[in-house]
Amino acid sequence: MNYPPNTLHPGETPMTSHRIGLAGVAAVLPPRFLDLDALAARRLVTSAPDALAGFGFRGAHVADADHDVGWMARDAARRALADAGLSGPDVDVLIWASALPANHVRPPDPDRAGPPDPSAAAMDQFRYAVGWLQDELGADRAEAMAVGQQGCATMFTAIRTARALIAADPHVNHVLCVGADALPPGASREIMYNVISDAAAAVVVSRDCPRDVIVADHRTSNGYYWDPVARRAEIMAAYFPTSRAVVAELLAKADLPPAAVDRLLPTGVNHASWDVLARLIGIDAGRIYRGPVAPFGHTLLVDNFIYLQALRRDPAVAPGARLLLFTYGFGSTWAAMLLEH
Amino acid sequence: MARHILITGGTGALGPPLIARVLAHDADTHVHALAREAPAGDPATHLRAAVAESAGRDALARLHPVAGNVRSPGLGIDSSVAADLVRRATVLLHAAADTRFRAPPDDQRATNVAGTAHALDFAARCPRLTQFVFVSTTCVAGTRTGVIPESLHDRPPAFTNFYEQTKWDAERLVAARTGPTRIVRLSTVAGDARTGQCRRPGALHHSMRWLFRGLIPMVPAAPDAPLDIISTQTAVDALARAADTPPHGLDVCHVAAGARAPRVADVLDLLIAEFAARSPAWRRGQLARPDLVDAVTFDLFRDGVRRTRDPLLSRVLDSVEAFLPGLLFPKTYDTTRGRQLHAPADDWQSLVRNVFAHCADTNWARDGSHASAPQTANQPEVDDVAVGT
Repeated sequence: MNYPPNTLHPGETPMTSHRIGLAGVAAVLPPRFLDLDALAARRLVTSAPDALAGFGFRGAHVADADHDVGWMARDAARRALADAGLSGPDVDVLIWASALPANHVRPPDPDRAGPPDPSAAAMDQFRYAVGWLQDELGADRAEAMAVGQQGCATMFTAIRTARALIAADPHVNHVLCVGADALPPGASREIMYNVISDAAAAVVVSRDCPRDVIVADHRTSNGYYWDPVARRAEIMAAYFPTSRAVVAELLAKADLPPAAVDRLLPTGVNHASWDVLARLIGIDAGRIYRGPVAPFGHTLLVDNFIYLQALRRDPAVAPGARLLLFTYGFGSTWAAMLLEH
Repeated sequence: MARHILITGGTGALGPPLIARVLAHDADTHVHALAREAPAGDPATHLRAAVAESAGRDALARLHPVAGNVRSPGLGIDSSVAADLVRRATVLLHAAADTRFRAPPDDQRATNVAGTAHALDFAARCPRLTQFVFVSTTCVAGTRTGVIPESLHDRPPAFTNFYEQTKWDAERLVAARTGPTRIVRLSTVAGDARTGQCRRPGALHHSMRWLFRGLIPMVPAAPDAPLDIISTQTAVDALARAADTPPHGLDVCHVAAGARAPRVADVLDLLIAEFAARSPAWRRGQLARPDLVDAVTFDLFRDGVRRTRDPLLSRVLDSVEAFLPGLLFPKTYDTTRGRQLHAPADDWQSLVRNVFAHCADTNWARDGSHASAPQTANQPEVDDVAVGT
């Protein structure tokens, strides 16, 4: 097998030399929506509805039997492939991302045929969601894998892994990253003052991408905060200085000042916190991108991609604009990436 | 001829070391220390025990606790006792104050303003009085910036907290007095220069505590803002010397680090190095250094925390928000006159190290008692904070 020579132009790295970018983006929310009063009536939030409204929340999208993790993931994956002008057989690597361990495994089949299998309970742990999705999409050439244990930053890690695979292996051209999470039925919808929606997103990461090229990415993981219950206050305190430091490192990697960022794509957490972060980073708060997107609460993985999906259709954002995406995930990991639109 | 110094605030944070210093300096000096009733125990007993630690038992014969309360007319002193005191007093050193930044405004006014008026009224009755010394604070400069002169201030644009305003109001009363009068403005007293001990942890110490825990993500401060701190020894030496030397008319001075005050950023760097020596989390870089931020950023952050009503972070804010925002208004205190009252300026690095070490070793307990095992940033916190002094 002949491999192409390593021809890097000045200033390029293997990561940047292939113009690896986001060829297709899609985000999906389940149709069922519960407003804050409905969530409170069902005791699915702890804080008062008006307090949560003050943080910018209006309610939560909640999965149901017909619109579960699998449905959301498959729908998002198909839309992202279509956005990229691709189909299942074009996918070289399929990466599944979930923040919650339970969402990495398909639920047991209640209608399983055949005699009872004593090993079924153990073997059901291997009903991997990524294998199921590969089958659903017809991505028969794809290598299937998953990433996890980075909370809300897991999707960023899927994309970072995709980028690295493309840079390292000339035979990998298209990586489909699919992130999906739904809280267990009846679970609290409030986590650290954020109202949580179920959702999925899919991103096709491709070589020689004409738009939304990944200029740089940076993250830090800090195991000191591995227990979010015990370290709750410490996490809230660490969030801002660590976020600022991660973004500063990201921009340093890209050799760009904060003023070069045209849009900051947030997550759906407490809106006021983004004003604080923007000031710490040195970005005008007017560059925080929020719409046109209906309020969706905070999803575990896909907030930034909900905004990115909208931005890609927004004529007000010109080609070449630099987009900064940032997120934090329990575990803990702070992650950022810079795109050239 | 024997001197008789009436001291208010004798049971306060600086009281015992000040009394000890005065007694040790001159064998002919008697100290009459106003002591208000305590919830438990005889204040005289507590005062004697505290002074004996520093001054020695021989000096105790010249210490005369006097039951009273600055909030009351006549300082709340029994009339027969007061009559004798009025006849003897040669100096009235008024140090009593409510220094809790978050105390109810009425409490602060009653102690800091009305209490000062009562002290002045008492002084006016003393025929042998050679001077009135008022212990004030450099914080009366409020939100002024730049070089702060050793003189009475016009009312500043704003105060960081109500405590500052009450002390400014009290200075106005003192300045109206006829006769030799000193206003001694103390900077933030961090603790004993050698042992780091502070009798009553205040906002500075609680800020250290929360910083050590990794619970202060940002400090509102101008980039080169100084943090003016002095040792207990500097404060006490200056006050004792002030009581020794009556001025001509009104004299205002700053007992402060002044131009030698370190920058907040440098103090943070030093503290973090000290934290790392005690805490694996700091040593390994797992806890983040707080950012210095402007007022708008801090206000946004503070408002967000308040809305969450998170109990621990709300408590942290309660401890620090009346103190830290003062760092947004960088200022340097002129110390030309104040410097004449005490030894050369403190070594701030040694002072900060010793104060932090003492706080950490005693788990930030009042009176420096060893309340529990030494704290590290990895251990759960015992809920024992008493905010303010």
